[in-house]
Amino acid sequence: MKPNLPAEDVPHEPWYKYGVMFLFLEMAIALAVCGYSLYLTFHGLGGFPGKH
Amino acid sequence: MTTHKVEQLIIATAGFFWCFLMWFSTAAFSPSIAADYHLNIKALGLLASSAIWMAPAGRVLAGWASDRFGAPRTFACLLGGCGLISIASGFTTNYNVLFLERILVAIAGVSFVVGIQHVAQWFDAHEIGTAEGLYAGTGNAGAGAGALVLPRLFGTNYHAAFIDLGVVALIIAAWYLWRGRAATSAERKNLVRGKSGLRGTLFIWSRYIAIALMLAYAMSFGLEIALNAWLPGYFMRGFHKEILALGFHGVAGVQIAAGTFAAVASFTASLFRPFSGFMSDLFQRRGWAPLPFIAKTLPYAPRLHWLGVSLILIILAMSGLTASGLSGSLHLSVVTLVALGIFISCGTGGTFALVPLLFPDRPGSAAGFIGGVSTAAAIVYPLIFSRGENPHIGYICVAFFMFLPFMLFYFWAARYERHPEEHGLLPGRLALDEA
Repeated sequence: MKPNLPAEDVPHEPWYKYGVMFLFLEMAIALAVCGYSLYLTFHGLGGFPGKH
Repeated sequence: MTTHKVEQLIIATAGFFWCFLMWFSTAAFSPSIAADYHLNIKALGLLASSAIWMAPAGRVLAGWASDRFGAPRTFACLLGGCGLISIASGFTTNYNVLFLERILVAIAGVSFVVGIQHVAQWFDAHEIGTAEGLYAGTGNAGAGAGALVLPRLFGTNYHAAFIDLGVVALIIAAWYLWRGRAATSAERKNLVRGKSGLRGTLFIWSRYIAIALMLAYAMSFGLEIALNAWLPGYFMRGFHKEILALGFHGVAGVQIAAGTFAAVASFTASLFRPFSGFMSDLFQRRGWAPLPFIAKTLPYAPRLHWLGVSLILIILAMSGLTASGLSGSLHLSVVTLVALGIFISCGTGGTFALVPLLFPDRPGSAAGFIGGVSTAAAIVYPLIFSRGENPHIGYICVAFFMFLPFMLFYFWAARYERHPEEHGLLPGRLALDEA
């Protein structure tokens, strides 16, 4: 699995931690909006939030 | 004036977000525009497709300009120019003039490659995937935000919306000029500027690895744009009975349900993109290189493998979409579509985690070629999807007859263990003169 090169052990700067937190927040928003709108649609209640 | 790379990332992301908002604002108000000017379905289709017309050539030119003049100036020109035309379109009462103005405003969509170049000039190799992912993913969300927010905020008053969008674009342009810096150092800026000539552009266009990345982006972002246009019609045609069984009635009801299923693919493809950049960084940090043929000893080899994995996943999901459709299960098709959206984001994020590392001296020209030419694929896929009687078959046809050769070419082009960017169509001497 691992190639013949050393894994990068470069320490990340403080911003990186917040950047990763932000990207996980974006993913959570994507999943929540998808889940909510699919729930509405599969129950015949409407479509993408607001388009009832 | 001191600055920090995070500030540069925020400026680029804000500019790109607003450009995407302007780019897709015409689509958000197309029903109101159609009602005002009594447009038929053909004219409406022309208005919708016009958004993409400027992208292929415009992105190539914008990429070169960002290397030549620096990202802040190029981005500010784009924002300022598109903002002024957007304001003018808010006062227009003639449809032909409005149509022309909205095509010009759609030039804002080429800004993607300018920001890619800007971020590449500020972030180090070990964090470039996450940085480019945050920029592109958050900025892309501007399209979805426009579709959700603009009609609610402005109702049918698209005139006011176009004026307000233009005014904010001018403010962001001024901010970009005031605080934006082209690169971490003057030396870095001048190095990129010095390599931005015609020979440098020819060098990029002729490299096997650049062509492979362009095809990989056509498989991901090109597919994302094509699906945006294709999927609502696909669900209406392929699952009409199933949608009626859910309780939707009439054309409007079926349209809402079909539009929702289509929107989830677009939404996941945009908002998972930063995650793909993070995964590229993770592959790099852990040194994962699981695929055969692809180089294993290059400094960025694990990132090549992450993109290879993404391309395989896209092909599998496309085949799965055909299988789910043929099974007649609407639920399974939607779940497969969500997976396809996520895998598309893996491809888009994985591609642009590599571009600045492969072409560090010409990031703008490379981003322009890879991000620009690939968008033309969005025109081809729907033509194949719509061929034949069965609407479900098109996905597997594209997967096997287009994506599989694209992926095999990528594996072949990424096999070099030393300087893959030195191998290309043009004689090596020309390439080495510029390299």
